[in-house]
Amino acid sequence: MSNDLFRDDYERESGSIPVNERLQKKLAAKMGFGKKGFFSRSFSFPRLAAFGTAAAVLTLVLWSPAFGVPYEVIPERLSAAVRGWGKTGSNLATAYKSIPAKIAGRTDDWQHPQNVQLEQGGGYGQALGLSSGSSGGRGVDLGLSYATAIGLGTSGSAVQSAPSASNRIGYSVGGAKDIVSFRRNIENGYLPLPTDITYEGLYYEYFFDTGEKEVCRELFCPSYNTAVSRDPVSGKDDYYLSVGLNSGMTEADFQRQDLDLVIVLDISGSMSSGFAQYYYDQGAAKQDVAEPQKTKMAAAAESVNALIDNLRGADRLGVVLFNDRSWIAKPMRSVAETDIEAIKGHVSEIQANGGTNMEAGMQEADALFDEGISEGRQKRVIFLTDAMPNTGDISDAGLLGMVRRNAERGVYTTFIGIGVDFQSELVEALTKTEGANYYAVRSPKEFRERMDEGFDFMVTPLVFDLNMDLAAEGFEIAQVYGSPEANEATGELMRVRTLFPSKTEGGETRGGLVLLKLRKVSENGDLKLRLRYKDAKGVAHAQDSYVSFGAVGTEKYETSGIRKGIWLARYADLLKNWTIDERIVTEESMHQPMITEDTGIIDPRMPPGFASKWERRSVPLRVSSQYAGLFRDFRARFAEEIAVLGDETLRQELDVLDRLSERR
Amino acid sequence: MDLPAKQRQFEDQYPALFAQTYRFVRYRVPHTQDAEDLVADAILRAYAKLDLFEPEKGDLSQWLNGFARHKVLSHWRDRRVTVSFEELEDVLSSPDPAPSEGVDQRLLAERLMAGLPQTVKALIAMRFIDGLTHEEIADATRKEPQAVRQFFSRLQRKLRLQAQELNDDAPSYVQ
Repeated sequence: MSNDLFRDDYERESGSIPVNERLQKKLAAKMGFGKKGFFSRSFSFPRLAAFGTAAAVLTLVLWSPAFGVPYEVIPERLSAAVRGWGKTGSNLATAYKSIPAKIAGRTDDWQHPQNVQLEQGGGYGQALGLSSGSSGGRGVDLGLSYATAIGLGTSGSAVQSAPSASNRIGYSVGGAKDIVSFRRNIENGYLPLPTDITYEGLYYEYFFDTGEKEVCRELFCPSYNTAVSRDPVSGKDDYYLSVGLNSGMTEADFQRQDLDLVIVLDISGSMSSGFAQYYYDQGAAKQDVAEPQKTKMAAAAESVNALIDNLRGADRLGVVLFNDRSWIAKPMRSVAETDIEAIKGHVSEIQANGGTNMEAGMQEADALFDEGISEGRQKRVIFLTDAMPNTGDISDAGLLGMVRRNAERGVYTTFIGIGVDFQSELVEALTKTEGANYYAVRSPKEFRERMDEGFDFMVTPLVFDLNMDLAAEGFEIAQVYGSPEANEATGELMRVRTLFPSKTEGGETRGGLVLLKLRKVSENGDLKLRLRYKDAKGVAHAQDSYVSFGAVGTEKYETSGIRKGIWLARYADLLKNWTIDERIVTEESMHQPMITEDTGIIDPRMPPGFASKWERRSVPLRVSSQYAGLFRDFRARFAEEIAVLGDETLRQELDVLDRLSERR
Repeated sequence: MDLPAKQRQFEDQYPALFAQTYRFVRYRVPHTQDAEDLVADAILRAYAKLDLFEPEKGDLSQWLNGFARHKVLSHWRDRRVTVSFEELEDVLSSPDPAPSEGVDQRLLAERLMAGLPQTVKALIAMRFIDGLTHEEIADATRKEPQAVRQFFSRLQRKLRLQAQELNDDAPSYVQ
């Protein structure tokens, strides 16, 4: 067989492949072919070129009705273009680009940053208007079809017919939606931060039997189950109560409202670093990493486009870019009227540079909502960042405060973390806000799949201010797992700010569990639980329930869901303690694991000042001999539990433990 | 040649360069959307790096083809195209006949190619059109070099087999 034999066939067959002319034109436009004009290409006199281009633009715009050229004149943009006269040719060229081009009824309204007045705190010169307090609480009418079906907002409402079990929807809590940052750090040879592994993030990677005893016919139906479980290190019995997060909704009932979405994209210099590289390690010895080739900026751009692909025609989209300053790259406009493909093309072209001022980005997003906030629509900011701010105010009065005040007026925030050095400490604090959640990008492809499955759920919080009062002589709450507000729990109160709809498969709900570890103070095993929450209309609901442990003192699990939740919580506790202890070794050259036979697997306690650095440097992955032993022992016990639970997806955690117990 | 001159040349030749790149990639990447993403990546990247283009070492077509080839191989390497040699057993498992003579080999190659899966065609293009070694193909497909060598060896035997079969029934012009 010679090359020539195949070459003939190849040339014939490949030559017959039809070329995608639309793509050809799109790329030509991206490279500026046919747009630069005769003067700009033939002469080197910038001012002459500028006037030439400007004259062409003005001619096109002013005479477009006569020629039938579909360009739209926006007075303020035109005046901005004219103001650029006499400066430089490039300003005028970009001024031309900033005039929205309307093609076939859809507008490419992207505004290139060179042409936008870069004014920190609002390119349009508007005040933030964050603290008006005029919204008077949530007051957002969700208008879900489900709300209609069950009369949401009326007391004691009930579903007209029992929902089918096959396509039910449950709930998961807000906050983290994965532990991708934790896994990526381990895969790439770095020691994770304790905040990289969150209980709710870990839970959301698994499905739980919520132990629902009756078919739910309401917006929210908690189910309670108990367990007595022996700590594998101390051998002492621990007492647990699970709260299953059930709803009466089916997938057919659920339809999200139209969405006003502002995507805020970090384009700071740190985003130009490798997707699996620590930006603040520049100059230091490089670690071997799994995916060094893709930059965070490229991954973020692909992720933004995955988000945009999930919007509907009636949704409205705005885009804000920020580095040490911020600007509106795309004003709010309905998707139906926007040339979405062109916008995605612009996103793909973004280059990273400058500092990181997250506050400036959020201020600009606020300005977009201030321009036209409307009732009866979901409103959300999606913030994509490597979360490494080095300028701006990230204090409670700054970014945190803005996120919280936005939530008070019904504008909720999603954080999406890019890269292995994603600063989970900061984002964990931010996402304890009502309606907030955060996701990390493992890979753009994987993120797109997750968004295709869960975008509508991500942007639709349905239950707010969930509080559970525990009245029991024999128990008090020691720890809450599976909720970002766990540290706000007291002995008698559990708090969860937000529940989002969540997928259910085979009767189990993704992340559908909150777990309470109870401290036994007497032999009385009876518990009275009062649950209070608000629906999306702000209507308050309350339910009383009674639970009994029965005869205490024997290891037992009422459901597989609570059993899985307990062992995952122990797994997370063990890993969190390890990440803290290993860092203490570095700083103090001494080591005493927090987990001992006396304590058992306890929830971690971070020393004061431990989490004070937002700008994160890498620490090489290491496992002390003490923890290697703990991991091996725990692995053996965890493997037994996996066999009992029959959930093979848990085996990924065995792989983590194997990797760590073999590491030195 | 300065950068503006290179850019002008690129723009002037763009329709032909696009078509060449599109067809090169599309032939080697079965999924249309993936292929078009790679085409866009290759062209935009090549254009962005035009300052590195050295006309004395080759023309723009060769320059751009280097980017396209790199994108395609990376795509295969990322396991976005999977090739299971085991699944090709139906294609390759015929007995090994003796080579035939007097057959129009080009027609045989055409007929053989017509019956192959697109991923196999892409592999053949990599080997016989792009000139990749067995080792380079093994790297792209994450297979052992020995398996790749065996695959191409068996493919050649298959060609000979088909030549034999066609020879038996061939119309007079291939006899």
